[in-house]
Amino acid sequence: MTMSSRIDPGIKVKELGGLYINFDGSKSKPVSSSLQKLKEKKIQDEVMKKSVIGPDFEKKDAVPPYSESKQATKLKHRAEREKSTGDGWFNMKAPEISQELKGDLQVLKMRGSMDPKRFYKKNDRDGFPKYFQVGTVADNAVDFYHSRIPKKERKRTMVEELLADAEFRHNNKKKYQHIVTEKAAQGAGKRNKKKNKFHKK
Amino acid sequence: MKPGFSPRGDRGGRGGRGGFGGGRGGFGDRGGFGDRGGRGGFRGGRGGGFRSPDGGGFRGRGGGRGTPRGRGGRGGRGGAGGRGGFGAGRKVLVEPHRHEGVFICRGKEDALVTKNMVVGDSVYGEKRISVEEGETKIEYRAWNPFRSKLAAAILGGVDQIHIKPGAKVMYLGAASGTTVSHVSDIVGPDGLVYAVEFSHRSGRDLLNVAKKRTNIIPIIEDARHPHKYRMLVGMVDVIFADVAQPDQTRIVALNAHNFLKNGGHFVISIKANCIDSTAAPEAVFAAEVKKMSAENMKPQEQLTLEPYERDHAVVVGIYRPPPKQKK
Repeated sequence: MTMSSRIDPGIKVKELGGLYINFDGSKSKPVSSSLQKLKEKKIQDEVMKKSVIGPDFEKKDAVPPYSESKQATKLKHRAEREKSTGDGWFNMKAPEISQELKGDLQVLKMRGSMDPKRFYKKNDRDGFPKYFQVGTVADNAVDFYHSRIPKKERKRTMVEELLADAEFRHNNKKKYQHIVTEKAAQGAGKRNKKKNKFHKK
Repeated sequence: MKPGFSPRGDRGGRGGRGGFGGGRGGFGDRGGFGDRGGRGGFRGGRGGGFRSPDGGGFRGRGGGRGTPRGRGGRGGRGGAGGRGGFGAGRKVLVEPHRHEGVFICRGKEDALVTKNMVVGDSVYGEKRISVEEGETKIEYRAWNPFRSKLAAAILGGVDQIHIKPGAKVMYLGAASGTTVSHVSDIVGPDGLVYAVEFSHRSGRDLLNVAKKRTNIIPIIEDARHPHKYRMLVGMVDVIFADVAQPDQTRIVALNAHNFLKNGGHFVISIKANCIDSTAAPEAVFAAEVKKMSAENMKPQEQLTLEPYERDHAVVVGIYRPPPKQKK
């Protein structure tokens, strides 16, 4: 048995930059970096506490089995399941909603206002669908002459299709101006009303 | 599922059929050129009040579309819009339908679609929608409710069709295999469709469909004699029958006794004219439902195919239901 002649405070003074104040800028070590190291090590220790590979790992006669709580596995399975529709609909995936997709979904939602001569039933869902795919109607020799879009005019998204549609833009503009003038007239009317009231009194 | 038996539909005069091109023709010409007769249903005329419950539908835009040129005096062609909502090159959204294996395609027009088993192949000139997901290319085929009673029943809002991915289906009265191809799409590569058709002429088309689709087993035999094809057919989960014959229920019952599993389901489309052309359609349907009950087939649901077919009803039920649990 050996007696310890030194007390170990747990801090290595050398790593912290030494006891002396250093006036040489280049040589001095920032204190924070070594402190960070300590912190990292602490986190590592925290993580490794749960690990089966500990100091006595070699002494065990078998690797301990991996087990998860029922709740955790359930949650994991659910998250996995919700990524697609499952076998019922041939594993259609839930796509990540990008800005373009969002635009298309909104267009579909507001399609009632796309064409003034066309009427739809109201939407049967509040939000957006979770599982969907964007497809293109395939070429068909039958409708070559009446309902085909030439290759040059094909677009990537529904929003772009709409923006390329001159008739839609024309109608939209008209509608917008109509609403704006109506609002302005209403506002003016209100003002006049107030004035009249004032005069009557 | 609905607990009891609920006759449904018969919403009275909903506009009738409007001027849909072709229609289906009588039963007599179902085979051979019958296929031709039904064509052109897609772009209906003025659409006699046809609306799918999902909004929109195969509406077609009504009469005079004419050439894209010369609409209005605004010069030029007016861009890509203004044409039909379902033209080649358009972007659409495909999302799952309530029924398994069935999808809805949403765009300017809505359509019922099924996932195409044979990519790049169109069976009867129907529209296709291609989806590219990374490397793989998927395709969907539009399903016209005017040509298929099953599609009409789905759009009519039937509660259960019992045909789903992986199911084994017996299809009586397969005709040229137009609806059969969609059923084969729904059941997918894990399922099976036994398609029975008596007429050789339409059987030829059916064979051509079955050549490309590995899950269809075509049987060119009389459905009245199931013993003639019993060595080809295993137990099935669902029987779909579209045989417009006076003894239709008996035919289905015979096949059910031979091939349908206990607790399996049947979907029968009844054409009132073919059973008794003098009686009222409602009376005919009621009589048929009564006949079914006598054959251990318990009807659960009945609905008319009104906007799509005249005087037709679809009856969905269960064969030899499991005994009720006593409490």
